[in-house]
Amino acid sequence: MFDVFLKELNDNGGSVRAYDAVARAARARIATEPQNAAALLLISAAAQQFVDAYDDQPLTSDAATEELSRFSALVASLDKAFTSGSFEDQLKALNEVATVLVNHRA
Amino acid sequence: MFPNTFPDRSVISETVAKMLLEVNAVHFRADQPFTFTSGLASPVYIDCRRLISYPRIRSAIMDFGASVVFRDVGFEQFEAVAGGETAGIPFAAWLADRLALPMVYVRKKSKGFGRDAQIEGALSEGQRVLLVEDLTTDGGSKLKFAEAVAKTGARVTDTFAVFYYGIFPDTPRKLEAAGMRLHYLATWWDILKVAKDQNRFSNETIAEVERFLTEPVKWSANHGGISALPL
Repeated sequence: MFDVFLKELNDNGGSVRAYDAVARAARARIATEPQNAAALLLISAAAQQFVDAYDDQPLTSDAATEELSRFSALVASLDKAFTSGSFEDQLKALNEVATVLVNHRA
Repeated sequence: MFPNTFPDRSVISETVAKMLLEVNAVHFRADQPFTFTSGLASPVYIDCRRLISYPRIRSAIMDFGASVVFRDVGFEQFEAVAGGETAGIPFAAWLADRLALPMVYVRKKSKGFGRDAQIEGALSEGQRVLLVEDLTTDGGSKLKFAEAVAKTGARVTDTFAVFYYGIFPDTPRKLEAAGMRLHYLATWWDILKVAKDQNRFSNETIAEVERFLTEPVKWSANHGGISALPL
């Protein structure tokens, strides 16, 4: 469901442009998947956080790997909850991802 | 204003390379590569923004920039200078002053609300614009900034950067296809030459950097980066 975003990132070396593309693609999907809007908005926000942090800034390969791993975990948890979880699982995943996003750049 | 001196091109390139090394804007690191915006892995990184904190250096660089633009393009070929957000803005302001031209700046994205402006400042239909950024890698950002300028009816005919990577052969062609000529002061090859002359880095580091500059995509693929440049 949301793992297509990870493929996009991996295929493009976890670059700023790839995250930017993911941020835009996730936002665009909200129009056709209103039932997943909150999850897609969080994925878009997480990708945009990366773009805002590293556009015009040096990004070491270690930092890129670490960021990709963090982003992948967020997407995986949303993917699992929205593919096979209950409504409560989805709500829990949304709240956890939102908390991670707020704390990560705090 | 511009002092109307036109130093030899090779003197400009060597001097700018020395300046960039002097202010520690140049980073060579083969053991832990950098990832460029495009996803290319690289042992080199340059931070031209450091130049803005050195008044004597930035002043000389802007004089060099004006001389290159006047000599390569002409004295009456632009109606405005546009700075690309964010690093291009200070250089555009100083260069506009040297060239005695109005200045605007271009946002990476429009605000999305209010005036929804992507261009700040006054730009009119038909005006010829010199787009300024601190550096040029594959030219991707310049194409986007030029598109934004074109929406106003003005057009970017030329683009100036303090530093041009000089390792992606398609870049000038890509910019030319979009109607832009590229002007710059120094490239990685100038940095490499001065770095060698000054013995600033170990022989191993220099050799690794040279390998990257000669075959950037191959070096990237061998170090975890992308193996083909995006179109």
